[in-house]
Amino acid sequence: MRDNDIRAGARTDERGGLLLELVVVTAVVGILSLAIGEMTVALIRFERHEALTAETQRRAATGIESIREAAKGANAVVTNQTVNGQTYVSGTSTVAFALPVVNSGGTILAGNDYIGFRRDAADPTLLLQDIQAAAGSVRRTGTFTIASFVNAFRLGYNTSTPIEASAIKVYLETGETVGSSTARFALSTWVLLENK
Amino acid sequence: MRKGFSLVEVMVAIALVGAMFVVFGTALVASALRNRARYETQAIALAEGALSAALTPPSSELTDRSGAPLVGSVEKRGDFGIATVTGTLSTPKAMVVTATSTAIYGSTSSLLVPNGPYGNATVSAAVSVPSDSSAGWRTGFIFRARDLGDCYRLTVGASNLTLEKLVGGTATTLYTGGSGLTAGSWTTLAVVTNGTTISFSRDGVPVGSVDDATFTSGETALVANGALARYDNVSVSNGQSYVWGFDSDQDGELPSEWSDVGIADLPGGTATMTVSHPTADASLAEVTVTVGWQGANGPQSVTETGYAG
Repeated sequence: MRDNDIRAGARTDERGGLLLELVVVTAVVGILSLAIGEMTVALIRFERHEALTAETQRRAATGIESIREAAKGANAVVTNQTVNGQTYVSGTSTVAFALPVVNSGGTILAGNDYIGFRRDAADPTLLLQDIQAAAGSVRRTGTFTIASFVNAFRLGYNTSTPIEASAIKVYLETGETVGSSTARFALSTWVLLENK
Repeated sequence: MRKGFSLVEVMVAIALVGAMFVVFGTALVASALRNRARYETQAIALAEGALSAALTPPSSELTDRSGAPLVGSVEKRGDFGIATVTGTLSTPKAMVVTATSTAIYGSTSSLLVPNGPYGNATVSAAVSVPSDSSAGWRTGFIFRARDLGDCYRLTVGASNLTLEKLVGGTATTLYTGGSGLTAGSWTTLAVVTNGTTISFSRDGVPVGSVDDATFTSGETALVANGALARYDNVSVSNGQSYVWGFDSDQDGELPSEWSDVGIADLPGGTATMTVSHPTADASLAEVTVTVGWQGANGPQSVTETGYAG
């Protein structure tokens, strides 16, 4: 009777698993780990690409908006104009505007402020804005980076001669590659010189 | 022996699966929002640009209209790219139309030629269409163009060569004749504008000359109607000389100086303009431009309004 109980207990109260079960469980856990790992990596890459795309869009939009603001307030496209030490010849790759001088009280003063846009000769991926403010102007003289990672920057005019233009066309493309992710974004727009 | 799962195990499993759904759902929603921001940013730039361009011509030309095509700028329509094409005049590549848009004034694709606008100039382009093009196709270019509805248009089709003048979208034929172009073949169209005289030729042979003073300057653009047209050896000479053979350009891309963004770059993109004179002052025109596109959650649009007068 006792021997029978011991034999029966050996069969029914068996603890732990067979080697086969252990292998199957290990394989399943391994496959699941790989799958979760791959999904996590893919998700991280996806998020990085999305962030890169958003940043590329922001750069182009910021650059276009800076040019739009200057052009809308301009009373003329100028050429052979020195703006903050840079000589501007308005054409397909650079443009300079003359703008009314406004002081901090909103009063229009005599003379002109000048704002020019060009790609940095030393680093063409940078789009620069040169400002030459007249005395008393609310604007600040200086050179400012308005877009980085610039792939293309092109200007057009509604007249054959830029200085006669009453509207300009701006095409700005930004792009960046990080690892295996590449993002490109382009904007194109016309801007009316509302003070002309 | 214990069978089934405990409540804790079930809850943990549900939490894990739920967390995965949340993570991936959030990523998808974020992606959709970024796409929407992308198209919205482009649409706003296009709408503001279209409005600026529309306010450029004299306000007297802004007659009342509703849901009409844009005026004041030659918009990019359809899609273009560089491709290797058998039989091009300068091998191996050409500019090709890869997708067409809804026709506006008889043009299902248009792409601005760089460095315009041009006044007196010589414009030349070799043109072709695939041999399986549908009947009714035409290809060529517009010149002295303010927009697709205000320009001169020189095109060749299966049966003839035509020079037209479009004013407000209404076409007047200035010349039609000659032989047509066999689809799959190439022919070179050229026009010389000098003051009010427009002389045009085909494959170097003068075809005709007309005198018209409607447009004295404007943009040049490659256009086609109803075909995935191809262009090669595009040139403009107006004191300076510009030639594009496209042979060293990258397949599938546009050369940098030809790159542009148009309504057709938005998914299902559309653009319309409405002009009204809301006050007693007949010289004050209200111009509204609406740019629409097909978003993930249905149609989207942005609207810009301005005044001329």
